[in-house]
Amino acid sequence: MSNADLPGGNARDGRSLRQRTRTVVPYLALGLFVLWTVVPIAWMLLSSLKLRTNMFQMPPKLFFDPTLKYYRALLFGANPLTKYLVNSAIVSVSAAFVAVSLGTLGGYGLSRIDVSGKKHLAFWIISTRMAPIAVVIVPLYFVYNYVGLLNTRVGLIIAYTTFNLPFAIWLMRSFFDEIPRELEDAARIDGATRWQAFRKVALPLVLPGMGATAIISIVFSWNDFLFALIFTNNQTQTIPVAAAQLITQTGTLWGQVMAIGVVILAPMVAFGMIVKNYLVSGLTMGAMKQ
Amino acid sequence: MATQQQSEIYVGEEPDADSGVFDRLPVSFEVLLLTPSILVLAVLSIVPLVALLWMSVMEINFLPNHEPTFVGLQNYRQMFNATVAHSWRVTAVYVGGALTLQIGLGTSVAVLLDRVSKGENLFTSVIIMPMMIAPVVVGLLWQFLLDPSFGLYTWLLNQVGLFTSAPILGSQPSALVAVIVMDTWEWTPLVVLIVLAGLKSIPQQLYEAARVDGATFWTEFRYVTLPMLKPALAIALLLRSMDLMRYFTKIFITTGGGPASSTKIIGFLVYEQSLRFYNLGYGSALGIGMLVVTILLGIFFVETVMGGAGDDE
Repeated sequence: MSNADLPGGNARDGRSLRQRTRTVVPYLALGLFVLWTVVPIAWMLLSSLKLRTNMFQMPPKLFFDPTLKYYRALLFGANPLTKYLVNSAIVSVSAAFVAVSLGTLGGYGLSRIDVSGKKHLAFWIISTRMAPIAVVIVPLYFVYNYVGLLNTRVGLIIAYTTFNLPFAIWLMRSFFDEIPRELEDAARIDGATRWQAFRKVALPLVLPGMGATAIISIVFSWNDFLFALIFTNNQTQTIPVAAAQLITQTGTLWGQVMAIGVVILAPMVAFGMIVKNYLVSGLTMGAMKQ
Repeated sequence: MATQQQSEIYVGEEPDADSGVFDRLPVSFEVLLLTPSILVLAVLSIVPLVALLWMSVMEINFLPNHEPTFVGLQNYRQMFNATVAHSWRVTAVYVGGALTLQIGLGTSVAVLLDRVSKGENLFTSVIIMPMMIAPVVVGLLWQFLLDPSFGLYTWLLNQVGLFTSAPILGSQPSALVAVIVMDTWEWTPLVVLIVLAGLKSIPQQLYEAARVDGATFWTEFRYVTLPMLKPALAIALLLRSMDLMRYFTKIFITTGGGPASSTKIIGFLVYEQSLRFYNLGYGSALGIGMLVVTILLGIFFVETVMGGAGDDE
């Protein structure tokens, strides 16, 4: 965007050296930020491949014979991780499905409705997402205890809907806001019903947005720890809870902790890359466009 | 924008058998589509809230044959003590410190990124990674990095003579600084992306005009960029402050609120009282207090910083 590094861009005096510094310094600073961001992740990946003799060595060893034994232990050990991966996948995908289906309908309604107080309605919807987690978990725990939803996947999916649905409504609304109503009006004039105008005109245009909403919902649910900690037992446990439990056993199994960390983050980082162009509008619920 | 005149005249000739029914209902189509979401959200927000209010005026424990008993405002009276006050102070430092770091660092990085001509795409691909990592993994990873005997970052700090005797996560005030740094590592990239989107929406003519007037980089930033970034910064502030208040996963994993409660933010205290010690009544009263503060904070940001909730075009 900037033209600081074009000759005659905005340098007023002292061309070459100052110009060059102006170009190099930002790159250096950005490089430092990248380093700061990447080092912990790289360290986790490296440590998950190190034998115990190398793992705790300081100064750090960057070259070593890699081992896959921690990954093997996670998959084929006494307490295989597969069960938790399946739980996580079922819960995240179901929660995303609920959020996207309701959120698409609600987002369209919110986008097209003309009532005074629409602002307040929108704000109420998003305010349900601002509730502190502890304040949601405590009463839900009490209610679940009564209705028998503790330790069930359904209970967890309902809990995730508390934060996924408001987000999905706001985001889908922002996608529908970008579609001119005239398109639907034209379809109506051609004889389409309200439902057909929604389903055949507006909906196909927001399909990419629905995909992004689904993926970001999956990431939120997959990464949750606190709800899963309280609302699941050994049968319904998700993978973040399994990761935390590696700490409390007799001493921490650091190799397995690093490996499970890689297993948890790899699919989500891949998802992040897929929805990269939607990430800002996604995480700001449509308030910022990219 | 132009006011959209919703023609309520029915124009479809032959309503389709499968869907024309929507056009003949007494409520509008938008209301109909909104209803399921509103109902679900109402149930999911009202049921817990009512349960929380009810619990907060009761004495509840999970002993067998112990019915909850009504105790009125006793739980609320108990709330005003040194422990809770300390927890609120920790919360203020944690939220304030993390916001300052994230907004400052994020804005600087975004402004630099906006100035360079190459590599923006690669850069953003790399920096979105921490946001995608589960907070529980972030906590475990940083615990590993800060371990007193084999942590990479502890070792690096030791090289310059810092923390050679005291464990970072096990002493004050370094533990609180450490959890603030963890959150900063994880979420500054979001601030970078938000501010970057804000920078891209600033019309270039403003800068050209400023340059004609002989503005330096600093005056340009101060009088053109910053005022135009206000909405983006407000969104970043609102999102981050809410999440900092709401979550405590990383603290739970790395310090457990310690040492000596120095990292026990209010959300963690509510969790601990309610679900670890099962003081459900007291915990719920604390939760109501927390809810009130969160709502006030939200309203404050939305009203003063953003000047109204959202924008209707």
